[in-house]
Amino acid sequence: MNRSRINLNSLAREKMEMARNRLTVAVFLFAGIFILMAARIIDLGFFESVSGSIRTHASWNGEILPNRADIVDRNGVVLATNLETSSLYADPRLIIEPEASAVRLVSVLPDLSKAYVEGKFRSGGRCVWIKRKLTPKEVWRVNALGIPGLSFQMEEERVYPQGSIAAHVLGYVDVDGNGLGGVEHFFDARLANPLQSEPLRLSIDIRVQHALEDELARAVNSFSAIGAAGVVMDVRTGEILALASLPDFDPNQANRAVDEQKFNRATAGVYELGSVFKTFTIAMALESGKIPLADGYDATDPIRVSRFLIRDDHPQKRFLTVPEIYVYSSNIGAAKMALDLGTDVQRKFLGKLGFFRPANIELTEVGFPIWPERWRDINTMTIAYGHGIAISPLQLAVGISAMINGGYLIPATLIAKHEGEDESARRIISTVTSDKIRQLMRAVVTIGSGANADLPGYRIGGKTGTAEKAGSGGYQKKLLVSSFVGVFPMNDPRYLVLAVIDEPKGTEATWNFATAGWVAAPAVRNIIARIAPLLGVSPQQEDDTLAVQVAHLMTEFE
Amino acid sequence: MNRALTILGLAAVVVAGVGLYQLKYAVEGQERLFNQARSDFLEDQKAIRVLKAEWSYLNSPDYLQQLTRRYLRLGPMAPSQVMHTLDDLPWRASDADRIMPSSELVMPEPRLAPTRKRYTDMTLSDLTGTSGSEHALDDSADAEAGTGTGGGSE
Repeated sequence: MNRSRINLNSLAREKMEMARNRLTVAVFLFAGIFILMAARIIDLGFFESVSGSIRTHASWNGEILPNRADIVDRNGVVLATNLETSSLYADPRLIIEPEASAVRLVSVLPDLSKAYVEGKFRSGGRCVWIKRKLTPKEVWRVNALGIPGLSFQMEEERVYPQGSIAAHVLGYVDVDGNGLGGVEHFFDARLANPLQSEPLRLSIDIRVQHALEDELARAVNSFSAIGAAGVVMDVRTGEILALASLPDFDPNQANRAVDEQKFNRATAGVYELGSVFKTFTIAMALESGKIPLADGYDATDPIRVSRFLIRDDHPQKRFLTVPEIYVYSSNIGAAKMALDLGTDVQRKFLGKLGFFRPANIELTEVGFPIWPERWRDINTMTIAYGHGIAISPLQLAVGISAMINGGYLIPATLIAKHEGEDESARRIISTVTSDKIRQLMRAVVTIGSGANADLPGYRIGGKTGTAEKAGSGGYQKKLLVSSFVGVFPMNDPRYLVLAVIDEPKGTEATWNFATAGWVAAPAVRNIIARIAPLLGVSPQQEDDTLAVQVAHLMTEFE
Repeated sequence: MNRALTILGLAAVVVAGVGLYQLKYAVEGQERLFNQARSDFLEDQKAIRVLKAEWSYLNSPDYLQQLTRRYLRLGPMAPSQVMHTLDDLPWRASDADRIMPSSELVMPEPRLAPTRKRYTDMTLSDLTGTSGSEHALDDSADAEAGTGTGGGSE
């Protein structure tokens, strides 16, 4: 009995034990599940939305990034930017009254014709383009009409707010935004790089650029020229403040421009630039030490070399000193001087100036210079006064800069330099020679062929260059390239202005002369009058001891 | 004891639940505000880009020159108009001739009668009134014609 009770007791205890164990298991199971659920609720409630916000934060970088970086001028004026534009399209099936709708639409978009719009509205299909790239104002007006069936498609578009100004520097892009010309092409990778959203800052000053283009255009119009090129350059840093080529184009509508308009005469065009080259001949002579300023040559008679005849355009028919050869632009004197110096000296000197390779500039439109394959004595003589070698106007500007800035060849650049940036300048001629060249160039304007470039107060110095264009069967007397390179102020040269006018024709006002002194020199004077105040060059009272000395030197030998 | 614990637990659940919903709605509200602010910001940035381009367009020297020609009678600044030191400033009109620093850098005298010349027709010597022998002659002739006819020249 006792035994069975114990058995019974133990059996009951065993069962109780088991039930309790099961209960414990169930409790822990449920508790575990509830803890999981609580954890998940807390997770959902607190952290899910936060982590969502973190995701948006990650893609949030403070500003919208256009597909292509802006281009600005040296003062930060926007020259090229990407804007979102809207293109208008219609779903003809939703247009209820095609005629009335067309009339209303044309009233806000006057450049479209009613017949054209109505035709589009009556055509089949689900989507017909009405007009691409509307201005925000036009979009607003179209929306205000409330015509059903009209919709907009957003597109990003390259916009050049300044129109055709600096078109050849900026270049243009295709419909997909790839740079096709100018700095748009040269810096295509940099501009399209999404990591580099900073604008590209050019050395161009848009006000100077406009003054240059405006005055060149005026010269082209007055003298019925076929084109013109111009450069304004800081002779100390090599920065190009303005670079122009006419005829130009509107980069906003580059596809409408013909090749003639897109051709960059300032860098891609190579020209025989005429007497401006005498600057280099004189510099060579002075630098060699063989021919001092007081030396001279007999320029009484033209030189005949085989079938060529070297004449003077302003014949003095007497012995000329070195300064006189320059100031009166004597071809005979320059030719004899170059012959005395020798072909090697000339070729080496022009090579140092970089005239045997394309211009070194941030553009892909650079022309290859042309020089004689076999450099004979006759070539040496003609190149002395700028015939027989063709370089781009930009290269000439760089070369002349080196002559007057103390003798340093500073590569030209279209990118704004920072203050104190070290320049890869290379000495070409001595400071003494450079000083003498400056005096000579000033004398050209005060008493020589560049008198029309004079502007009291700014001490402009320069050199005229009138070259005959080479055609089939020799040079053509009527087709000229008239150029003038001006530098100011001559006592401490800061800026160089070059104007090249292609095929000008003389007018009554110039007594039918189309030479540089009549065509290009006044243009340069007008440009300097406009840009000098902008560039902070103040007019000084003139005390031309340098030019006076040169004038004395010239009369001494008469 | 057990019952109290249960009630306490239930209360805690209710409080936690209500609190959680409050928090969640508050967070959602903040998020809406944030997204709104962000899209406003993007819109403003787009507008700023457009305005910058428009500013550049409206300040284009080409356009300003057109406006100047139409509404103002201004031409390029002549060297004689720029005074770079105080000494160059003229004194009162009567003393002007004596005090002027140079014969070349003189202020242009006001014309008696304004001519109707427009900027486009002007040459630089019109503005400077100096230099260039034949231009100077033309100028004085102009000025005389101007005084005589009451400014209706050209």
